[in-house]
Amino acid sequence: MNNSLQKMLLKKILYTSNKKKLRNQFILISLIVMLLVLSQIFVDSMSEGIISRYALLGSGNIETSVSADISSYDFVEQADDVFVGNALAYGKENSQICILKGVDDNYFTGIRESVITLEKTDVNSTLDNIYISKTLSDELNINLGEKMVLVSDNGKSNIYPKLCFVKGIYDSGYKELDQYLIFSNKSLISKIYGNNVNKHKEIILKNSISTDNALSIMKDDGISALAWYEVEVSLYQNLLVSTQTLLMVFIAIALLSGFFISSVASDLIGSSHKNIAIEKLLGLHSSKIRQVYFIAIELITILSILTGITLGVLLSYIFPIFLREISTQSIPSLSWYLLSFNIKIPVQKLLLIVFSLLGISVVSVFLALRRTDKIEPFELLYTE
Amino acid sequence: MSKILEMSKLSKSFPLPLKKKLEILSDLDFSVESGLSVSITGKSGCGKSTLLQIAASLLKPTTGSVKIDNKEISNMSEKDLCNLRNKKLGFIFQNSLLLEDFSAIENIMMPLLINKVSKKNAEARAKELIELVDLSNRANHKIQQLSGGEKQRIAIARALANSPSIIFADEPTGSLDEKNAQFIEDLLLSLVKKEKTTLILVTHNNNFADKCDKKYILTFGKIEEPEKEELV
Ligand SMILES: Nc1ncnc2c1ncn2[C@@H]1O[C@H](COP(=O)(O)OP(=O)(O)OP(=O)(O)O)[C@@H](O)[C@H]1O
Ligand SMILES: [Mg+2]
Repeated sequence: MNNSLQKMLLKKILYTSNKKKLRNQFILISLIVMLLVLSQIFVDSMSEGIISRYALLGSGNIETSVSADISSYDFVEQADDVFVGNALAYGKENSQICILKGVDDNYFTGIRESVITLEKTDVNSTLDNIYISKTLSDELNINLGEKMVLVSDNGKSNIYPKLCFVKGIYDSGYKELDQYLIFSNKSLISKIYGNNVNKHKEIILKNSISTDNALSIMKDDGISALAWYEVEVSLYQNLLVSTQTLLMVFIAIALLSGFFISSVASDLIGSSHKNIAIEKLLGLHSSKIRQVYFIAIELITILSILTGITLGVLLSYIFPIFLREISTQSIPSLSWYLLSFNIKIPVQKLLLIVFSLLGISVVSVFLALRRTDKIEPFELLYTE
Repeated sequence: MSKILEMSKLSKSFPLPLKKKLEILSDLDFSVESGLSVSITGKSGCGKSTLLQIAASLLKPTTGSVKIDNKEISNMSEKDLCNLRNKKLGFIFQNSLLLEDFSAIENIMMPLLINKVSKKNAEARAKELIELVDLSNRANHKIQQLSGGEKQRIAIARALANSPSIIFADEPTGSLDEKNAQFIEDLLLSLVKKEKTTLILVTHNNNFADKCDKKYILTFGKIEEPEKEELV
């Protein structure tokens, strides 16, 4: 078959009676791919966001001992010594077990400052200053500038209530994380826990290095350290399982959609029965006919995938803004989720999804098109 | 003169329910010399179309052999059959079987393009043919916009495109009125003479059949030459 014939046949398939079917296929596949891409980006970016919040407020990217000498590492963005303990926080009507974290004054500077909103009062107090989260402040009904009681929850030291002053209220954007986290200065923790205080160093890494790489460099230097996912094992496992499950679901949807394209192919062959029989009568080999239909259908598939990816990526930049908007206006329960995070495009996962779709469509369309072999020109003589 | 089509010991039966068979053609011998126009008539349902389809490689006989240009076609591969149909055979049926999505000229170009003729040459040849059937002014019309007679003229032009050895025609004027039918009959006969192509024609119309070089009748599964009209 020469090229001009192929072009001519392709043009007829794309622009004539099949136009509507192919257009519907295009729209449907574009939309499905768009939603899958959007969801995958959203899931990945959100879990990345959660990880980075945990790193910032929880354990750092890497947790090591206070005595570790890390001054020579240029991959360290910020390092803070922290003292950690538990305390029962009393609100106006209720109380809550909290983690009490003692930090230096410069803890909320630099990268933390850019991600976490912190509202402070100008009022000073001789009491120990603490920062509580917006979530806890709502829960305990304690406002900025008010006083609250902390009772240390440590069997070894004396149990005594401590009146503190709420100097600041912070908001990490993620209730799950900040709900039970109270910041104070280190001296308060020392006072409560004495020498038994639990100390460690939180290291925030620069973006240019992965946690694993930094960790292995440190371990090579004989520094014992833990990655955030070793500290927060259950969180890490949860994130891993849920992102992987979702990826599986997305791939399954992609496979089904790819398979659906073969029914479009069958449909197309069905409605082009007469034309195919005539072309065979004129001596066109059925493999050539299949080839043209195959190209037409996969061309539409590829175009719709590209359109879907483009729309999905564009939407992923708009969608969180939209979500934040509705979370403040109409669906407050959404605020339990992390809604402010950087969009990260998980290229490999997206490729896996779209190639699943494309791959299954290629195979199933190829098989569906074998129907053309069964069309015999002599059938034509008995039509009409 | 050499034989372009040779069928020998040909039989064809269709399976019926309850393991019965409907025998349409039995032990039939038939051959056609190159360059002649030959007509086959017979009662409705006697198997004319079946015979033509077998001769034209569109239907397999139950037994027997069919040779076109001295080559046995009943065991040809699909590829060889495609080649044969494209280069050596032309078809004209009652229903003109044109590609509806294509224009008149594109329909005529189709066999040429399948035969790997370049687009430019295919177009030139198609223009020549559309002129022969006097439809140059309809070249770019869609098939739906053509009348029945015009469609048949395009079908004739398409059948001639690759200068085939044989044209098979099954009731080509069957759905046309008298005047149109006459016109198509004469056009077809004059064009096959001009292009030196063999014509095998199945028709009910005795006048049309009489215009051919040879006339045959199909009865009871056999083909016969009527004695009286043997010479035209
Ligand atoms: N695929 C088939 N299965 C069963 N019977 C068939 C099949 N094709 C044709 N027949 C039967 O074979 C017989 C011959 O059919 P054919 O079409 O060859 O007749 P014909 O001579 O062309 O008739 P007409 O002049 O009406 O066109 C008919 O009785 C028809 O019903
Ligand atoms: Mg018939």
